[in-house]
Amino acid sequence: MTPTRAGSTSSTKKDPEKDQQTTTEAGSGNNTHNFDALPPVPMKAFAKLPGWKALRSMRTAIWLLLALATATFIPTWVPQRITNQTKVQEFAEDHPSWFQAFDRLRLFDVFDSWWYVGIYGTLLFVLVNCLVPRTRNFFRQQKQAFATPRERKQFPSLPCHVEMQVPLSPEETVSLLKKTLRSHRFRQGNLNTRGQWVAEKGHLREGGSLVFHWSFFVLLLGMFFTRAFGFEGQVLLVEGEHWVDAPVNYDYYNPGRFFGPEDHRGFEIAHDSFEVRFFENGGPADFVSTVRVFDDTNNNAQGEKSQVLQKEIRVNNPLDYRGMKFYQISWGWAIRVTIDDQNGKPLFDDWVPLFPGGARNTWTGVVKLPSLSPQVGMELFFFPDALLLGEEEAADLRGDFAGGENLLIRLFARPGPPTIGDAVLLAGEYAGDLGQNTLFQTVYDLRTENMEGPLEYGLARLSNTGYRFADGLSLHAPEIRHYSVLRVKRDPGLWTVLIAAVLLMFGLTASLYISRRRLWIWVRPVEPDSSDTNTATAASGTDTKETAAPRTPPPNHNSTPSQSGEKPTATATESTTMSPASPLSQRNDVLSQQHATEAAAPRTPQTMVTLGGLAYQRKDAFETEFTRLVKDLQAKLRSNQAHGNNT
Amino acid sequence: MSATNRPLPDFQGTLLDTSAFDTAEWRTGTLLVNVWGSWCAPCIREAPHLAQTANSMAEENVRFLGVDIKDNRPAAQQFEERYSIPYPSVFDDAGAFAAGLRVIAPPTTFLVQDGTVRTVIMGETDSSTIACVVRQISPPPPAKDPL
Repeated sequence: MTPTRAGSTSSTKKDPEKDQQTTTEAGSGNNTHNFDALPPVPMKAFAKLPGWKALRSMRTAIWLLLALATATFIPTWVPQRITNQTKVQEFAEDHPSWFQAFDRLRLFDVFDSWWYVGIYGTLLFVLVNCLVPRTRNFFRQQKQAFATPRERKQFPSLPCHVEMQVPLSPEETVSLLKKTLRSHRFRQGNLNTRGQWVAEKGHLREGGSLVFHWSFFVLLLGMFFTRAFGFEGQVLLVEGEHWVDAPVNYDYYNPGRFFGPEDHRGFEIAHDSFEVRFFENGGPADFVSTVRVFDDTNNNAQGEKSQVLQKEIRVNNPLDYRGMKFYQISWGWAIRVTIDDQNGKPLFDDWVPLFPGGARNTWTGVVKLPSLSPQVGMELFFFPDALLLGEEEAADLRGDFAGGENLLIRLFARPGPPTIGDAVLLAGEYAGDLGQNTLFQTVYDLRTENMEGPLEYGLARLSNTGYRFADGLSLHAPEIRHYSVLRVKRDPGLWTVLIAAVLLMFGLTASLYISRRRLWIWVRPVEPDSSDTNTATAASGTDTKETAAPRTPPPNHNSTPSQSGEKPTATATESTTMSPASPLSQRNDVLSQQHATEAAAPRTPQTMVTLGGLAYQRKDAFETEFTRLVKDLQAKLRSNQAHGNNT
Repeated sequence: MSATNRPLPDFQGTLLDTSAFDTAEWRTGTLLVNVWGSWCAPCIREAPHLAQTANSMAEENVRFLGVDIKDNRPAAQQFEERYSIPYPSVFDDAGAFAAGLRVIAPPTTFLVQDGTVRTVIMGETDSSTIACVVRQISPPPPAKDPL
């Protein structure tokens, strides 16, 4: 950019009088360097509402965030209906009065409670309310910050400032300065008609802060989107079982508020096989569920489904089909249990899931026969590889089962990985009322409060050796398979949250490590041997300098140096003045002396440059940067001078 | 799209007694479909009401159909015997028919008129409720003139 262009651009876009007024207001209005003061935003009618100010405060947002974090901790101590209905029911039975109070406060459904949603919504609203004006100001600053040049008398108040007289025409000086500042990666504003402009670096700090806060807002929004429109469920699939994606077929079902039954895809999954491998120490090394997916790809009227893919689902390698992800999270044994009555009529024939964690490394399950009278329930204990001790060996062992039934005392599961060896199923029979209409229970629980038992323990082996109970029921366990537990998720806000999290980190890094600093530059022609020159070479920083400086006309930006006839004299030199407060002062005095010595010859200084700088953060680092900039500028001036001498 | 005003989904399978089932044969007239399981406590409570209503509406051209989900066949057959359920039930072990009906949880009862689902009763129901919804779309036949 040539001085001519810069000057003409500036004169057409900006009113010098207005510029001057803004400068005075911004620069001399106070002494706290509040240079970014902007005209107040006109107040809207709603802004006068009580509490509106609080809704525009980041302090409020922080309090809301703290409230949200506190609320998120509640499920640590209070059981939640959506995750553990049994625990909630136990709480209700143990503490009926507390239960009512907690329930009124929706403490058993924290994340769906009106107050949690209220805090969340208010936080989003406050964030927007804070960020919108701040963002608007940021973009305004990008346009307006450079329209605030400073008066000469304001320069000495800056932490870093320097004044030097250079043997170049104002246009050449401007060009050289702009080039130097550009090489130091300063963003520069337009040159005004008085030969002033502003350069800035690190303006992305505020941008980074805004990116951080907006990303946080988007992150919250993404989480809300996932919670509202997403879905989470869990299914237990026995090997060989077919399963259809529908709400009724989930063992655990937690849909978002706006996720309806019609949003399920209705595809079918066949669980073909499951494989689990163990380390030598018995820990699981890998779980693999092999599944096939069937779907109605042709959308034909008969609803016939065809196989669309086959997939091995592993931990961290989910099946992703039509927006639903199936994660491998657990596994276990499912034993096929058949129970017949005394006449051989089948009463029960199904795969019963067994869960680890029973006493003596057993796997436990439940069978209920509600249609019998009295109703019958059975507690199942499965030993994948049983060790049956002799009666004498077991005599001293009372074990974990009260009552000391012989079989229970004598049976142990061999230690090590749960592989099938001498597999034994032990069933304890209870009779009475299962309590399905009176006691809370899941299909995996047996409530024995209203039952008698265990009446008898029956032992069945996988080799189809059954057991007949005294009441005539016969138990068989002919087959065992694996089951696989898959967590199913639909997460529409996943990418939003991920992108927001990445941007949040970028924004945070920028706002922490970028420091914002500004330079104000004033270039003006001076007559050789003028009083301004003398003042400039003396210790500056006083108002008297301003009064001593002649009111020289602004540089003629409409003419090139050759046109105006202003050409730097080969023997010209520059003199510099630093703020006394700056550590640069001493260095610059030396430079001044050096330059004065070099310029013992005739002097024809033509331009005075005043440079002031301010860092809003990391001020020490800026002083070093400012020194480097001034040195670079001086080197370029010398180089330019030497070039002029040669020519 | 809601669960109502939708066609009865296509499904071919077996009944609890292992005979074949096809929804094509159930698309005419008034049909009441009850989704249940022998393991489901509310289903146990409403079973006598359903049996009673099915018997009382036998002459009104209202057919009843059960859909037994996530169950085992012997236990379900025992259930039907115990509560004297007079109508057949589809054995929907994989939950495919229930998925087509958009069942969220058993028990759920659907009133189907000429192959289109008109009313859905979610949760446990009783005789009077069933009679009420049936009467809305299928008025009882006029009483015979005593003269």
